[in-house]
Amino acid sequence: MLFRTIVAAVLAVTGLMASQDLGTAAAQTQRDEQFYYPGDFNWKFLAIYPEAAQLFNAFDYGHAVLYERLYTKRGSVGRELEKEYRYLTTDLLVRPPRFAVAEEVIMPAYSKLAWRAKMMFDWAHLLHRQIYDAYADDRLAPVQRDTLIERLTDYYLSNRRYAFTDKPKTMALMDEQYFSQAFRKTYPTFNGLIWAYHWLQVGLYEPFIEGQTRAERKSGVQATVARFWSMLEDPPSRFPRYMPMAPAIAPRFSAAHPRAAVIFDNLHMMHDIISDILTADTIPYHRKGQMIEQQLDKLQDPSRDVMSLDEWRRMADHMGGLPAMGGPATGLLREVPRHHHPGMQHPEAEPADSAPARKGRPQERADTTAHQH
Amino acid sequence: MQVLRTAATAAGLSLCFLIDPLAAQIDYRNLDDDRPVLSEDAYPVERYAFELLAPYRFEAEADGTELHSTVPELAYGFARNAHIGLKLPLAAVNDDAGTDWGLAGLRLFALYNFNTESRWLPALSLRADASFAVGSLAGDGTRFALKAIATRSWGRLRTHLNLSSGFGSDDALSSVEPLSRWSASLALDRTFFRSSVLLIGEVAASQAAGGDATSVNASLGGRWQWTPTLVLDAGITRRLRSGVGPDFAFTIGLSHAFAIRALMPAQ
Repeated sequence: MLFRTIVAAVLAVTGLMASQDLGTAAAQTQRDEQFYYPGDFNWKFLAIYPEAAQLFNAFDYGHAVLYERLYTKRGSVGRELEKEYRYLTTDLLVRPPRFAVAEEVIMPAYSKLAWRAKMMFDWAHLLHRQIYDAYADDRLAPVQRDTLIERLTDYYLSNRRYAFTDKPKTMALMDEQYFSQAFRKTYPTFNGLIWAYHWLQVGLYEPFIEGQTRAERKSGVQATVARFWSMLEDPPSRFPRYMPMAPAIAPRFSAAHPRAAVIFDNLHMMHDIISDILTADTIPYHRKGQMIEQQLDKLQDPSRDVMSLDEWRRMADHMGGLPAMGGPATGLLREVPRHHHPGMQHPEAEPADSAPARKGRPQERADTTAHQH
Repeated sequence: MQVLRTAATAAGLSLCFLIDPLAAQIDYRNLDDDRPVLSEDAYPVERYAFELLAPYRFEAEADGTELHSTVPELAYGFARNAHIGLKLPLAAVNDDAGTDWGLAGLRLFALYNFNTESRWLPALSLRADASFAVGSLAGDGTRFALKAIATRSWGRLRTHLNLSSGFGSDDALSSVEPLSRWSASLALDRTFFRSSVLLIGEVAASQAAGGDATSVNASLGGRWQWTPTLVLDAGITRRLRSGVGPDFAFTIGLSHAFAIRALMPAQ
């Protein structure tokens, strides 16, 4: 009887919170998960191109663990990130998970700090995945595929709480705030890895658009993935020197689907902004969540801090051009651009295809018979 | 006739999986009630998602009775942070008198999740169930239950506390998953993110009706993301008190999440 009374009391309290919206929980952040756009094109990317699709699962881990370590390991972030970098590049990327990583498991503290940011990233990553699924579905004619991608973008934008704006945001948000660039300057190697992720995430659209047959698309995807692997040789010299932007890395995709390309650039910009917020000593620990919220507001606002589509398309040139962003994602690349980062010594550049293939890596070097674009 | 109805339902369920009309969610961490342990997590089905469950359960009771059951379930995320659903339990009961087949009630439920987990608060949800006496094994009365659910995580570990209070007719209860007078369960799960596996352990106590003995059972189970569209779960249960609860119970099930384009924005 006593137990039943306790159960009834708990239920009554919970019910009160529901009915009066007065409880602490009711004032908390809601989970707000939403299902993805249905269709039998879903999961085609994973089924046909697992060597690329599964890498993206490992990328999700990389993003998640970065934020968790930056937020929770203030005294030893450098050591922790070195350890995670080794784990990622020698283990998880080599044998990536079959399915999406439950990011809450990897970043429990960060998820509680910035649930909205986590949801916005998840929502945009879902769009990424579904557009790859559309490209991977051989049953779709190009017109049907492009129509589907626009519909997927509409669906993405219909979730206004968690969609980035499809208007290009000014680079000043990423580069010119008082905390900007803190992460990339403090942890250039890990930052380079993140930018290499972003290079592949947008660049991989190109071989799908170039390839006319499944075989051509398959070999093109493998070549682009191989180029990603070559970026990991001799870090950080081969990593992108600037955040890869869609018009530079994925020009065909950006021309065909500018809204989605803009969304991905805004997403990647927000990735960097959050890394900077979590790294910067100039933002007190207790204000980091609030600052992330403010920046999310900016990245969702279509009316301020924006540039025109023409400016967006030309922006890569102002930022060092395609070579600074990791180079093209298709065509022959005998050598991935090698950059000298301040304070680091690097050997002379070598042809990308002269480096020994690492055990366990699934890809060969880029196809040397492909043509240059 | 009942056997035919049961067979038709099973065939229909099988067909649902075979036609695979739409893709599903990566949801091996979405802990549903009785899949495979009694406890569920505090999170609902995603907005616009349907989740279809097709389980099988075998129980060997202390008095020698054997129970075979399947409880097909469909849930729908009809609003943000809320879902509704129905269950249609079917059972076969073997005892000294022979074997009875039949429908074991019709159950409707709704769940609302107040919050995602924060630094200080667990995720909290409230669930309401109604069970109607439809079918030969459904008992004699209508019953209702309210359940409070809390989920708290520590990295790869999560705990789930479920507290439920039932009311309504105390006449003969359904043979399958009756809405107990009260129940309480505490579950602990661990995520293995590389293999997409969730392992769960649980202790649950319940009193089916006023005057009944309190059962205390321990369960172990797992959920595995089999394909992008299917989750396979399995579990075992054993009573911890003599004479009350199953000597042994085993369950296995499949869950499949999907959406219907016509019900979504931006069609």
